[in-house]
Amino acid sequence: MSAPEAFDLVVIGGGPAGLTAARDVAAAGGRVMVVDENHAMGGKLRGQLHEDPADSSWWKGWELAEQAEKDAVDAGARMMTDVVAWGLEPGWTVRLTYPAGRTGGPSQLTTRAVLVATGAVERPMPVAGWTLPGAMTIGAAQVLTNIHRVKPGHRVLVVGMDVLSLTIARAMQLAGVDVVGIVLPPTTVKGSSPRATLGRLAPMAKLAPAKYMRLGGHFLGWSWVQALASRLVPRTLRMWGIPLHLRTSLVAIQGTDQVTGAALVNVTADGTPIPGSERKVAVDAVCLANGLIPLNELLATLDCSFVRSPDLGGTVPVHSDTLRTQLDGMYVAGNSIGIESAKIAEKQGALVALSIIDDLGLSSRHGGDAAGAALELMGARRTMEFQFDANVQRGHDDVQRAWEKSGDRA
Amino acid sequence: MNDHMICRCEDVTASDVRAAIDAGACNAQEVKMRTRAGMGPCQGRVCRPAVEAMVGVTSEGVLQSTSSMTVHLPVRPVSLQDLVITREQ
Ligand SMILES: Cc1cc2nc3c(=O)[nH]c(=O)nc-3n(C[C@H](O)[C@H](O)[C@H](O)COP(=O)(O)OP(=O)(O)OC[C@H]3O[C@@H](n4cnc5c(N)ncnc54)[C@H](O)[C@@H]3O)c2cc1C
Repeated sequence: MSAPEAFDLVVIGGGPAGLTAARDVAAAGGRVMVVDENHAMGGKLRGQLHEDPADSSWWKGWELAEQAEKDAVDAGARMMTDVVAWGLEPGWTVRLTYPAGRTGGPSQLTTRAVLVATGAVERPMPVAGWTLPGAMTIGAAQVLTNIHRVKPGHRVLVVGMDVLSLTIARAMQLAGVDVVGIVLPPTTVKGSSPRATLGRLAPMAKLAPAKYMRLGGHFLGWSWVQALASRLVPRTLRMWGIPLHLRTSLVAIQGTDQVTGAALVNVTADGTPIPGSERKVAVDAVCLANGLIPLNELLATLDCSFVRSPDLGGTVPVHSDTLRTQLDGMYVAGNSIGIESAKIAEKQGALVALSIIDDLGLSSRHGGDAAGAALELMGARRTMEFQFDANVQRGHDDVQRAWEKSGDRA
Repeated sequence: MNDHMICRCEDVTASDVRAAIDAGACNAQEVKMRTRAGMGPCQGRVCRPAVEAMVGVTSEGVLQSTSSMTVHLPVRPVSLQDLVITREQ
């Protein structure tokens, strides 16, 4: 067989981080290949639909995804979909497999540099009944609703309160689903008490006060701002008319062949079930939101170290603020190094491209240096209109300290 | 009521995991060795955080791996055809 073609950069994961990096490195003359296991590029962007708190326009992820792919292709990057990277070998070789059946693609790629931009996965919420048809993660509901335009159910209960679940509950509502309410996870789930939940939601109100207030009535109404400011946990709040039961936890998902309901219980502010308050709600789908975890399985098989950071959502590889790892030619960007919004992922993609361009000796058409871009990224983070975790910068600072201690390159 | 599934690939329930912990398993890897949780096709991508939550994750700071429940190559299921072609190349 002929010698495998060599690339300057192979990007694993065609989300906003990977596509942006691919565009910039290709524009600088690099031979770039992006591989993604989905049948279309764009990563999680493809499922996103929300009103952008920055300017009240609609954030239509699928349009942004198409544009990002087009920009990368126009710049000269190549793309392969329906292909999974299953291993990395120093030097670098990227091993590939084709779950949807082989269509003549290569089984490995050799490259000078690899960018791991594999994004995030959802943390499961095991509870009685979670394997029944009709029970799904909140991300699955997002994909069904926004990508396939299929209602996840007619009457849907959402479990878990965070930026993502609120956003997707809204998307389902817009699609005509009766979202009967949002309740807290089972009391066995760490950090699920009313107080802890409100504690995580509260800093959202402080992030960008001006923008936040502008959302006024529809995004987070006044009752919210007041509730978040006080230390008391109200029983119910409404967002877009959807009741948020701040003092109710899921006990079990019910049904025999399919979800028919859910058992709920009231809890104290600290999450202790209140006897006698058990009740049932009839629904045909339950969406479970238990947060996102950076996906780093490929790097976990290599010789590099990791930092566990709840602020970032999980365990991430040690890397510099210019997104270099401890391994020569191996780079990281996007949600695989911390859970953040698509806008930040895109900025990380542009930043890591500068590092790659520099290290490979290519010359950027736009100029710009990675150190400057790293500072800009921190600035963008401070003024972001929403964050998955208000302490995300603290998490990145911890990683940066670990990087400096590991004393490799700067 | 409380005996829900933890690892769908290998049919390991919460009570299986609890029994392993009671029998002395003190991290996710040890639970995996005793119960097969995380040994199926998804290799723990789904159940790893659930097992970790049950057994409790204590390690902090800089770690040598993402989890005590080890990650191995191939990180995803690979068809034999793709492996054969890899060898031929
Ligand atoms: C369910 C879910 C919903 C989200 N909703 C929102 C939202 O509404 N708004 C928002 O701002 N942010 C949302 N996010 C956060 C989201 O992750 C970021 O917005 C952004 O998409 C991150 O970009 P990324 O490039 O890092 O990764 P992603 O967009 O996640 O892209 C990563 C890509 O890598 C691919 N991949 C992973 N492993 C492999 C492999 N081994 N081989 C081949 N391909 C691989 C995946 O298929 C995926 O396409 C959501 C995240 C999740 C998980």
